[in-house]
Amino acid sequence: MVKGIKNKCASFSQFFVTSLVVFSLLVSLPLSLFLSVISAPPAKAFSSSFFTLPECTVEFDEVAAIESYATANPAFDPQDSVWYTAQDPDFGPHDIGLWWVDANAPGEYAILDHNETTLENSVGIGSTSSNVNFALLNPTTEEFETTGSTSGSGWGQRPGLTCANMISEKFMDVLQRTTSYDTAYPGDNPDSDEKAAPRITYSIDQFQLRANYEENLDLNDLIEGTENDSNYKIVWTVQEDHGDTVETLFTYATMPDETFKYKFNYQGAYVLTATVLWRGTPYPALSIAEEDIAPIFIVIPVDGSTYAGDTGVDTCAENSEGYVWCEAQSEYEDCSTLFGDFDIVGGFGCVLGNFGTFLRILFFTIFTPNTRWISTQFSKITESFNDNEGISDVIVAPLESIATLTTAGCSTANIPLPFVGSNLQLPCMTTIYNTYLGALFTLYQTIVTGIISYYVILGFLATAKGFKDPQNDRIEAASL
Amino acid sequence: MSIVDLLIVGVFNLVILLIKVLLYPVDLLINTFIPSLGTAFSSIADFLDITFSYIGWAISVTGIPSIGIALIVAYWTFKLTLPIQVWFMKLALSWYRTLKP
Repeated sequence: MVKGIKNKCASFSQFFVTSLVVFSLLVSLPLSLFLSVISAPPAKAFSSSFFTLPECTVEFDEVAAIESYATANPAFDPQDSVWYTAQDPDFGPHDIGLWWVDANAPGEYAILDHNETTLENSVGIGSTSSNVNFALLNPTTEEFETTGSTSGSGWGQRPGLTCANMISEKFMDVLQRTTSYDTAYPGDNPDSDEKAAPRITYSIDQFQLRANYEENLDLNDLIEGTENDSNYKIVWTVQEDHGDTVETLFTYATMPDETFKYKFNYQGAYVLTATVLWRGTPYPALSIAEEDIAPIFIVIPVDGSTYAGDTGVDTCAENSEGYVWCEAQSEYEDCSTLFGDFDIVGGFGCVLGNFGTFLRILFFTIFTPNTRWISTQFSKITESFNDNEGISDVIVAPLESIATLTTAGCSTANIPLPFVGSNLQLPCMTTIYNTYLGALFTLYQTIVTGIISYYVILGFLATAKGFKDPQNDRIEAASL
Repeated sequence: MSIVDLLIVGVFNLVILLIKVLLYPVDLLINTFIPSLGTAFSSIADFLDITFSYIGWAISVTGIPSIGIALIVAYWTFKLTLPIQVWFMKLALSWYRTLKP
């Protein structure tokens, strides 16, 4: 009888898991992929470093070059463009030019080449656009001597796209954002309780951050007697956000009209801070109008969504500590509002849409160097339907716990005791073992690790042996 | 996090996400028509959460190093998801055979 029950349970679990997997993969995944594809242009779907050659190095050029080009082309807006130079290792130490890609018109780009004669016949020819803007840069004067546009045939005379990195880079979209906080300096409105904060425009191209202070504050009004904005500096700080703690990575001061540049090392959560400081004596000890001007904190997630590119406005608000915090809107729709309206079709569609967004971001991130995004993305998407309690919680809770097993750190366990009114504290045993057993404990851990490794290797070998006979279905039956 | 940890967390998160998405309509029905049942389910989940919150201390009692735990979890994750991969390969092959002119 027990055996019968066991068999029935096994059959049910097999049926349940199989149904779950089949339904999810055959229905949800294609639907989600469809949603993800229609929500992203095809060019984005293939804009991944997966298609690049690793030996192609790309660096951003100096701000001076942008300003020089902007002078020659009054209609040109540097914020809409991506600038970089490239070295093509296949053709020696030639600089193949300063490149410009218009983020608003991805099909248009220019090679701003100052060594065209040398490279014209050696680098190769490429063309993907019929109308290409171009300019020639004089490396000595750092000015653009020739500007214009060319047709597809004219493009054939330009140095080409043999550096594979260039081919993919031109498709890479740039994330461009502006902070929304725009409260006027309280000095103009003494009755206002709100603090003023600098408004920041920033863009991210892969790991490269560029940020500018937009002059929404009239700095000359801040302290009487100042003559111009050169008396002020913007102090930029980049911090890595670990959740409970933040780690300062970089602090740098620029003039108000200078671009702040920082290259993120990894994907992850970062906080960019911009503070206005007066260059009084002794600089920078005096923070201007501290009670009126707040530093602005911008939360920047560098992840798959960054690579997908976007243009938007971050939402900012003053918090209880007097700081102005800005965060981008979540990529995921809030499905919990549909929950209250009992809109099953809309709610399920909302969740599936979020899942599609998740997959789209996943697609971008898979081919990028770091995968720290997983936990943040997961928490972000689950937040969108967290209010929905039910049977899924019972299934998910142990899975979440198992997933955290590998990273579970040991801390003192506090167990509240009934009727006593105090807690039972159980200290972390690893510390005690290390203190009292020392090398013996290390030896024990080494032996245990060895046994586990042996067991795992045997298990892998046994699993691999099952593949010897391709007609053998026991592997599925055994595990499902 | 090591690569092994990342892979484990990634696989589990994907499975959790799938479960949440698939059971969303069921949860919606339960919470709308039988909210007390939803609360009961949540209580079970809360109980499991509390139980598992001491897992770090329990592991420390055994003295098993974290790499050992990671290996065990990775092995069982691999072993339990392998049939799905094999099943998909066979499904793809059967489709190929069916569609083959």
